[in-house]
Amino acid sequence: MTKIKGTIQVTEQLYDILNMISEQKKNREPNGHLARFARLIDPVIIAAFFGLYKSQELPPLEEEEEIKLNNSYEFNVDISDFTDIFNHFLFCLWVKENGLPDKSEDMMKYRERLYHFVSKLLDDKYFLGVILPFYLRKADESEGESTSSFLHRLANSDDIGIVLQDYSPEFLAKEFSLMQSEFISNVIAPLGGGEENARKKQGTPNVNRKPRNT
Amino acid sequence: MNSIDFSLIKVAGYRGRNFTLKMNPKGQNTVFIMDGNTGKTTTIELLRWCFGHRESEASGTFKHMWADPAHVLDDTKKGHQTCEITIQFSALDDQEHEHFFQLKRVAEGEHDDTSPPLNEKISSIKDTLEIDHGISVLTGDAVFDYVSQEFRFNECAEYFCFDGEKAREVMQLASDSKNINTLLALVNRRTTHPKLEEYKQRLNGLRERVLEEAKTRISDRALELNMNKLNGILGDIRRAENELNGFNNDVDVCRLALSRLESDRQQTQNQITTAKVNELVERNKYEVEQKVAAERLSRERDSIYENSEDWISASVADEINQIKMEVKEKGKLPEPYRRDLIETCLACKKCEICGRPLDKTSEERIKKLELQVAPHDVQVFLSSNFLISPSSLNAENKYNSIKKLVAQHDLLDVKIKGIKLSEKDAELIARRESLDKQISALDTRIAGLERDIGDRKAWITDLKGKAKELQEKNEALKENKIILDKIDDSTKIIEDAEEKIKSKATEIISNVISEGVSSILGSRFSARFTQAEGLMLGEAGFYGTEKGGYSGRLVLSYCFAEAMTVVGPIIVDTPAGNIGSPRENLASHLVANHNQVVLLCLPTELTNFANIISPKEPITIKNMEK
Repeated sequence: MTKIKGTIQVTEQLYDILNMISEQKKNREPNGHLARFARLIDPVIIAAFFGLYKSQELPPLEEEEEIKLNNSYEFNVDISDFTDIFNHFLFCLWVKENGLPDKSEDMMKYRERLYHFVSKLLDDKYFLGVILPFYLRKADESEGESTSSFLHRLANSDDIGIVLQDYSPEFLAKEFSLMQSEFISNVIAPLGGGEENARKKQGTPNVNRKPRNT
Repeated sequence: MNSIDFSLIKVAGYRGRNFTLKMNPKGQNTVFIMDGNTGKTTTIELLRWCFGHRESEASGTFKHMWADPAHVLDDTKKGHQTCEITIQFSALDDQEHEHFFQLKRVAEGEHDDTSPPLNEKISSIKDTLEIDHGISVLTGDAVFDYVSQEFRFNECAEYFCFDGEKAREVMQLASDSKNINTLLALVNRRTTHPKLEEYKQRLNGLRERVLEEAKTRISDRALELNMNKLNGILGDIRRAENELNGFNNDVDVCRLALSRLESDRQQTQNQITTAKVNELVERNKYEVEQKVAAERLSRERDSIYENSEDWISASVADEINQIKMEVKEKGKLPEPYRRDLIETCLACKKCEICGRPLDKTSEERIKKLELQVAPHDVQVFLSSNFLISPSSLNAENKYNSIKKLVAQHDLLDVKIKGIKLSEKDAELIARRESLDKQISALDTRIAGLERDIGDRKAWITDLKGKAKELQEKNEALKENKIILDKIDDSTKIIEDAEEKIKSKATEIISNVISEGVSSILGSRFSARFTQAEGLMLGEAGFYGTEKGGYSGRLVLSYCFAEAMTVVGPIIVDTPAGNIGSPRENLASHLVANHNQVVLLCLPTELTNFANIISPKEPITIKNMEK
């Protein structure tokens, strides 16, 4: 069971989002969209997944100290369901990076690295101190010159009027979904029974994006 | 209990020696003739051991002459041995009823050359006290507690069981001013009033409890600091309450204004709704449609965040389980070994299965094996079935649905703007729009004020909690301070009383010693004991540490020992050894001042001494062979 009891490191944008939600939830009739998140931790979870999908990078494994972001926020919540899914996605990414064991020249070394990696994923202190902030930071990196970061846009999605914007909830959800599909297509599908099969199941169109250089 | 009378001292097995000292009948003194090495000193020291140390602390505390600690078992015998000391005595209770007591200490063990410094192993020491021939029996530490409480043997065993060594010690203490503190400590212990001491301890206990409760050092300064803190908080509460009242007034004013604006808007809207003008009716219809679209749009967007867990769902459970299985199978990942077994093997440097010691090759092999064994939680992760909800977000559909609503809203906007209104109708619409803006601004202002009111209320609650806590603390401080002041006063009264008693007792002791000295050495001699100068012998009114010679100072020691004892009998080892000519007077003095005198004399000490102590024939104790 992974439980956050205490503070976690969060970026400036995520900190604003959390404060906005917290402030609005105090009102009986919140008028912004962000306050509709069922739990305060939900935007953190969404951001972490987005960071993973977007970067398709493995977390730093030898990081000794916790990653420090600009702010910290206090939680007391069980996030076991989230960490289990997240860890399995990271596991798939690791297998993609390291190949299946039968391709390995030194099986003993392969096992050693695999066990070390999974141990790190299952280490709550490491997960909350390094892995989670690592991907939150990824979610706060702007995407090119014209598009601001996912978290920046999420922060602006609270009250947007009757217009379509790249920071409206529907656009962010769509972008998240596309990133997820891309991750599945690039990472999971080639390892676990074919891209087409996974995409069909996912019910998403074939996204024609360049694979990221990981 | 008083009128204590010893009737028997029996030693069996002490260093392999057995002897019995049976005293003359009650009311008579007893003189034992005991030649060298027949148990005189042993008797005195065994009595001090039994009376001075409780059972649980007795092992290793026996002293014999210069050996401290000393052994009690026979160092020439092998195997299990027993040393038994029996002391029989009687005493009268407050109603003058006589009671008989038998105290027995049994030490068991064996001589052991390999256990220095005593070279003996005591396996057990057991105390028993039979009261009135077994009507009541106490054992263990209860024996010491009873005897100490009833007879106070523990306080003065060194003095009523007196010997030459103790006399020399007192002489040394009295002859050197550097020893005055030791001597005073002995006297002060004797003069400490047990009841007052008990009260003082109780007061100290009470003080500790009060301080523990207050959790802080009580002082006026602490009280003052807390009062300042409390006043500061009370000031903050007043300010916050004033602000709260101001906000509440503002909200009332805003709500009143809002209700007027809403009423105006309703009237304006009614005018628009009931208008018979076609354009206005049409415009109103589009506006209603537009409002519905806007509300639906908002709900759709809300639902995206409300169901954020759908974002994470993905139909990849089978694929991920397939990957896990492939990694496990292709990697031939070993089944979980007993990791603890491997760790124990490496730690103990021997195979925990066959018991053989590990050579270098085996150790290396086990270390490699360790690297192949995943920790339990890693094994669980790799072999467990992965579950994830199938994808349910359908973001594309959601996006398209919202896109349609926005387009619908925009289209209605175009239609609304396309309708030409008369000047009067346009004014109605403009007025409604103006009212909407004012209402929206007021709504925002009221929401802000309500937030401020909530904040202030929370702050006031918090401040009131702190103030209450401080008030309670201050009450406790005041209350505790009063109690502590009273404790201090009472302690001071007790200490003053103790000082007075000590001073008086010292004076009495001084007089008792002086009278003793005069009665033995003659009226030219006297003694003086003061808290400032200690114990001094005086001759013809002049006091000094060297007055009276060896004999005089030995007498002074006797008299000091008598003053220090709180029980009637005296048991003395080699009483007249170097006493010289005052021996007759010493004998007379002992007889006059003790309800029972038991002497353990050398054969050379009898002349002009033993017959004065007891008219009966002295009892000869022969050296009982081991």
